[in-house]
Amino acid sequence: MKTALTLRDVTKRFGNGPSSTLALDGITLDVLKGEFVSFIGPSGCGKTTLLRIVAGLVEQTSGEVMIFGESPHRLQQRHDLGVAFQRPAIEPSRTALQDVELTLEVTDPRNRDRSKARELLEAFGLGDALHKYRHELSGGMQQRVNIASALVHDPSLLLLDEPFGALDLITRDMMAEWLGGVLLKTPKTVLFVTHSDEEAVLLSDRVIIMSPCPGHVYDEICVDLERPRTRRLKTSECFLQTVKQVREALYDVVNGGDMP
Amino acid sequence: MKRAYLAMFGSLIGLWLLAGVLKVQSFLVPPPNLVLSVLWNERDIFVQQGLNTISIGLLGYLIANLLGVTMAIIFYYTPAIEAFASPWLVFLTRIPFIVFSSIFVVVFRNMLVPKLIIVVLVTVFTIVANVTEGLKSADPVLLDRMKVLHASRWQIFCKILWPAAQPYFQAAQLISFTGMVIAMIVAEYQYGSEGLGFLLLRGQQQYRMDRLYAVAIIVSGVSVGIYIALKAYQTHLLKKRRLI
Repeated sequence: MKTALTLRDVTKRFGNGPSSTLALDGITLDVLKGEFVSFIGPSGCGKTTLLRIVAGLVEQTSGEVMIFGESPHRLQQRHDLGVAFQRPAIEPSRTALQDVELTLEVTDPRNRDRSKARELLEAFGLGDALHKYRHELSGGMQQRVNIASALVHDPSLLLLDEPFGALDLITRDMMAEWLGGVLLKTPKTVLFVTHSDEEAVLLSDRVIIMSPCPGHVYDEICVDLERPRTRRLKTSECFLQTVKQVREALYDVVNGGDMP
Repeated sequence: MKRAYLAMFGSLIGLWLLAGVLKVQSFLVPPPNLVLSVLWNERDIFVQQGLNTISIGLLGYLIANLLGVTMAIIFYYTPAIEAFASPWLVFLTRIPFIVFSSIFVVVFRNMLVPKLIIVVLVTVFTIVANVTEGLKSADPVLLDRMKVLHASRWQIFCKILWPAAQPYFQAAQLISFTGMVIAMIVAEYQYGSEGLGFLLLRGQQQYRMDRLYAVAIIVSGVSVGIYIALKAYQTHLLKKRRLI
């Protein structure tokens, strides 16, 4: 299968001199086209920094980042990246529909046909909330609008930075299942940053465990579970076994496996 | 808000009538009927001079807005210019403009430009400071989203920065519009040639308190009316964005 993302010895240092911080050290990774890869690890392990480097929002100090053989900036220029952050990037003076249309206004300003935005929101179950403003939407609905805004221009690479981090447990569960369903219908290469091992296993083909100080890849676990994956899968033995693997790796990262 | 304003207007009329009941001398508080008859009998003068005041004031206000918004945009994109120019802006707009007013007349040899300068000096700082702050208040997550989508500077300005600055811009209008009216009245009072400020001056010189009160009613009526209209619009805007 074609490689979508190549990271070669990516290093990021913030600041200069003795007070500088090495946030990422020698990240080398390949992500295949259509693969869903999650990054999990304790706070400060550089997950978000790595995602921002891939998005072209932060420049790496050294190393190479190639997305389908091109730099992140080139992909930005081609409007071929989609990003959704933990805090929904919704313009408060726009309705849900107008906000999704904002992406199309920027990526394809000459095309007056913005029906894709409406279709996507309707497919996301937001047909009744098209004309609602940000404050009128629940957290889950805001996140669906946020993800719709990141997907509507059909980017090759979707970057999701803890999109469900601020949601309650039940909504989070439902959203993870919903996202899995969406990506099953329209497959995408996805990088997903999360703090939830269950969420990572439910959605991913591969889970990358990152370790802090400086951030580096500690381990990676392949998730060999059939799709579609629903909440019911969470009680299955193979799912629990994979989550256990991820959690054990995380414990190793945090305190060498010993409980305090 | 409407009830509070109605209560205020009611109380003012009540106090005015009370002054009549308490037989306060009419050269201090002229009775309402006298002021109303002055307003009616001299309506042509008031309309003519009022329009003069408002038209020049609005022109100055428009210039202040154009200048203020332009400066705010320059400040936003070039922090070095903001750092250099801010002290000058604070200094120039904080000097009592009466100090300059006579110099302006000598330099410009007319009354229009000095009045415009005074209006701009009084109002521009609020606009610059507020709009700069408003532009800076744009949500960084939205700016990141725009950057990833490779939005142009113009697109980012129109679609993210300017909408973010709107509540601040509206708030600046509330403050600076009232400032504009006061600046115009004081400038006309100073230069003593035309406008409502000139009518105030003449009324004072002639001990015509009825005319002073008539001008005060017109000026405060216009100011408060526009303030209420702007406030209503601003409240609508902010409510829509859930900022209040």
